[in-house]
Amino acid sequence: MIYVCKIYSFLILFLMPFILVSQTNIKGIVLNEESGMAVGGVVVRALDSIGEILAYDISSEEGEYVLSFSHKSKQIDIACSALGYRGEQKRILNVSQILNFNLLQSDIELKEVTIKSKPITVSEDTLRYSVNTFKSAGDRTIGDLLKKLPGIEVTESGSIKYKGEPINKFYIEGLDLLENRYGVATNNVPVDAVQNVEVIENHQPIKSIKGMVSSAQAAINLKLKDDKMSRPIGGVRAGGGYAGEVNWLLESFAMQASRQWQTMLMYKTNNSGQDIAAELNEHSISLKELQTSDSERTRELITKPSFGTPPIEKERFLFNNTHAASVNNLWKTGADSQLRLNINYLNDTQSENTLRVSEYFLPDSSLRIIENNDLTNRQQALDGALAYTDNSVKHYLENTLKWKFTGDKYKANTTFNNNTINQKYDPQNTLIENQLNYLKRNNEKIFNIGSFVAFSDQSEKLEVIQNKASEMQTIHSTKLHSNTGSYYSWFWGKSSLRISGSIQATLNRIHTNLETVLFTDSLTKHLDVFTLKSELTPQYTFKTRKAEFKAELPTSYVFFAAEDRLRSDSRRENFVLANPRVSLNYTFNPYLSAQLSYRYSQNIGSETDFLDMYLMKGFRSYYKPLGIISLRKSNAASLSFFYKNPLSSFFANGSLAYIPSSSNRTFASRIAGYQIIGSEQALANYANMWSARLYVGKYFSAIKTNFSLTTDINRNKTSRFQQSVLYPFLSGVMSSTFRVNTKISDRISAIYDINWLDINTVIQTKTVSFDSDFNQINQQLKVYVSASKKLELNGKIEHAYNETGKDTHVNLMFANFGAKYKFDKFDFELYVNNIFNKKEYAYAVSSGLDSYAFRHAIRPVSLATVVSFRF
Amino acid sequence: MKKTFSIFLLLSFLLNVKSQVVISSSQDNSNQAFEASEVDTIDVCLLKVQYRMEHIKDTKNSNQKKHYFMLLQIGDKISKFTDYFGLKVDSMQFLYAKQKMSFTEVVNRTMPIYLGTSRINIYKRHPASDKMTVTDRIPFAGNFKYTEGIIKFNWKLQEGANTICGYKCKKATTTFRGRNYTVWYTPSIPNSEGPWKFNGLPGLILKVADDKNDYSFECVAIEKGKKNEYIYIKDRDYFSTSREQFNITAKNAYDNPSAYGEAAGIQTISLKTRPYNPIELE
Repeated sequence: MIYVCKIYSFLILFLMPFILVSQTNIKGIVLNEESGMAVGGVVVRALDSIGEILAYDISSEEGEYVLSFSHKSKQIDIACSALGYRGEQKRILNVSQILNFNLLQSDIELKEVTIKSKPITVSEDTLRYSVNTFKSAGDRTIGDLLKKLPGIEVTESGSIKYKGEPINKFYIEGLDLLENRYGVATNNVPVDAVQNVEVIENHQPIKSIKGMVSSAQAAINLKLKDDKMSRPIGGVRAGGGYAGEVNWLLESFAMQASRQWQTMLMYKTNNSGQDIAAELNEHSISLKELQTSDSERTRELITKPSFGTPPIEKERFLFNNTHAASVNNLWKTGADSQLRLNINYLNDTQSENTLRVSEYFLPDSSLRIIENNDLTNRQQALDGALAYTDNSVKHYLENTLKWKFTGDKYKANTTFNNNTINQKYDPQNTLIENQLNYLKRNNEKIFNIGSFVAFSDQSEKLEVIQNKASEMQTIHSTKLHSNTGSYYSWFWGKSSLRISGSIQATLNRIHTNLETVLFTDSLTKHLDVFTLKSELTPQYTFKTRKAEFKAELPTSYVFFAAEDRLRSDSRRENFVLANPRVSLNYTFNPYLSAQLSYRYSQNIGSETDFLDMYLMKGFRSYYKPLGIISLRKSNAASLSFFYKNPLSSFFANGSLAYIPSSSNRTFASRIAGYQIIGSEQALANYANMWSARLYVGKYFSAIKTNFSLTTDINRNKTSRFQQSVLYPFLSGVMSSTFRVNTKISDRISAIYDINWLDINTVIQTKTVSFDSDFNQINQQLKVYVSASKKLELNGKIEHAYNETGKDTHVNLMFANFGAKYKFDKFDFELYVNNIFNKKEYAYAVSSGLDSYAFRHAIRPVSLATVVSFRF
Repeated sequence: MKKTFSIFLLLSFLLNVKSQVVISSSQDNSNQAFEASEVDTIDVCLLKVQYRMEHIKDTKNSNQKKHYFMLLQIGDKISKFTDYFGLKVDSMQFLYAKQKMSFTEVVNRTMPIYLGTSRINIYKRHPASDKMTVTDRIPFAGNFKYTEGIIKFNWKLQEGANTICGYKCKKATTTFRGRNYTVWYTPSIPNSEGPWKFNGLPGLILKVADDKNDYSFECVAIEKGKKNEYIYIKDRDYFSTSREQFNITAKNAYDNPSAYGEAAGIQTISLKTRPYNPIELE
């Protein structure tokens, strides 16, 4: 019995696994019922009686599937389904077997999808981005948020591009308050005040031609949160410190917006070396302004006592007291019309103290002049725009009147040869321009009339007082300008041809008077110059995947009519100029590409070349143009290559350029006592210039460090007159930078670079041999520490070895420290600059036959704290 | 001179009067005809699944998430996982190329959209049924391409139910290259595809998240492919490499952007290394 029991127990134990976990293997092929072809990617599932998956497989390319499972039920379901096929389900016995399926093709059926999160909603041509979805903890202004939205690009100055195209309108609650100065809004409107950002694609701001003429540009509209409407919103950043005197910094911004009236105010001030004047300029430049600016503005003709630009950060040497304010208002005057007024004001005082040692090369010796210079300038600028727009369905009328008044007051006290010389320079500028646009739609035709007129008026006065004697030059200049252009393109195969043309017309009236005892020439001039320039440029391009060939031939006709009103002398000059250019780019493979180019250029001067009288350059220099239009012809050939191997982290690129040129004049300078008289002689002058650049960089991942070397070499061989002797000379600049960039840990990174700059001039004739050479070696170590999520620290040490003369040099050491702590609503910043309390920065440069050594007073050790918050 | 001045005034007025003006047409400076990248069509597109992808770039700053809208195109055999806006740019570029728009203008219009997109493209079952091709871009380094086998995930089917975009979903988990994932798939859509490299479940994968929430994909829309809608691969100059070498190169480029930026002529202003938190940790 025991024996039987044992055998029985053994059998139970032996058979149990087979009874309890007997495995079912089902395999087969899935075929297309109609074509008989195998169907891959079919989901085949084995399901139990309640539909739970026992096993599943995805059919192979040959349509094969295998299901292996263990289940006790007698019957199971095999479900077979695939996209684009009607699903099939078979009930079978739970035993291993071969089971094939033939599927019928059918449409894909989908449920109506309810989109759960709506980060972007679309209605007609408006994309609406929900601010809350895209907002992150660090975002302060609407610009921070805009940067993250797909398709939107925001530059440092606050200008916005959508799909690469500058936006054509920036609305707040549907109103265009700021026109092209919307950077003020991008950089200041708090992100918390905005509910949605709307992007209106293909925005046609002119209602009368909506649907007729489409626009490639988009508009942005900020929809404010209900609780932020019609109440002030804004932010303040304020700080103070000490750097020999009390320093301050204040930046404030406020706006209030409703659908009928909007206003935005901004005020910034500091005396701590922050260049907000530049910031304001940047904001005011839109693409449209860039195309038309400068050409209609007058150029200063007197060389003013200008501020130096030592090769260090501007914050170290900028002594300033700056106030900048911006007021913007918009009123809705009717259902379709509005009036907008923008006013910007800048009051900027800058000062500097420099010691300049100038050394002039003379045939037998050299002349050395030492000047100590205290310079201050107070600039006041008021610019603005008044625009009326009537944008109805029938017509569009826009008139924008813009103005800019600038006035500078330069005062320089120069100590020289135990004399004190006072200089006063007061340029005043007025620029007024008016753009009128009227557009009328008549069924399918559009009539547009546009008028752009720009007028500028400029007066300059430089007064030099020395030993109770005074010298003075005044210049008054007015200018009227117009410019228009057009182009057309053809395309065929891999080629394209574009022809573009433009016409510019300018009338410039200059009146100048010089009061000095130095010259016996006529010292008064009344000059009128009319300039007409028409240019036609055919441009041909042939492009394949590897190569691109481009050839163009800009051809222009320039006509100058100059009239000297005092002498009743008139002159006309005509130029036909052709400047052919060809270039070839070739990509050998992803690693290597190269470019070869050649251009022949004929560059002519401007209307002021007719001014054949002395112009003051500071208190002891004069310059007299030749009185004929300058013409410089040059050939330029260059070859460059780019190599990159990101897989081994090795990069190299280099270029070589050779530019021989000739000019119809040679520069001459004559030194009498301490006076430098510059002029031009009608003698052909030749210059041979060549330049080379090489960059090599390699990253070593084992030590998380990148090493790179950049070298630039420029050489120029030319000649000029000094004391009536023509000196050929070779001047050169070589700059070489070695940089090490390393990540010490996840929280600490450092960058070290050393730059060697060599400025060199060699004069070699049969009788004269002269060599001047200045070296500057600058080293810098910057360390950045991310101490915690909220605390960031940074430090910087700089060392400069600058040669200031033949046997003299200076060693200068600077250090800065900064910390930033971020609270939820506040940021707190602390800076200590110029820790070693250096008082001056010294360096020297050579320019042709002359050389200059400078000592600049710089800001002493300074401590500053800044707090910023938004409301 | 008076005469000249009158001519000038007349000219300046006449030149500004035009019978018709093309509003807002941007004037480009290059006539170089734009050519869209050549593409190889590899399948028809049957189904398009849009995912919202969230990614914590900097693990020290987990509040700051980067958002992408990704698209999974499912074809008869091949699937393509790509950026939704990137694909839009491609179609814009095809259109602009047809319109013979100039290179500069096309780049200006489309580049900012690319700047905000993910450049990854994953072609499953291409070039062979057991392979997938991955193309991606590393900033300043270039476009890369590698091939690896279709991943056979070790899926664990779990209890749990969820509804995503109206579809009832089941839960599954897996561990892959250093991350633990929970995914939701719907047997109602009989396809084993999913976002990124995920595949192999008995239904379309609609949601994926790793346990640290560094990466997540959630379906926001599903639609059928349009007639004549194809899946294509761009035929461009890629640096061909392996997955391992690609990941090393990407890490190097993030660890020391200056190495790559300088070579591209960009001076590194910030000392900060760019945070790198890749989806594949192994």
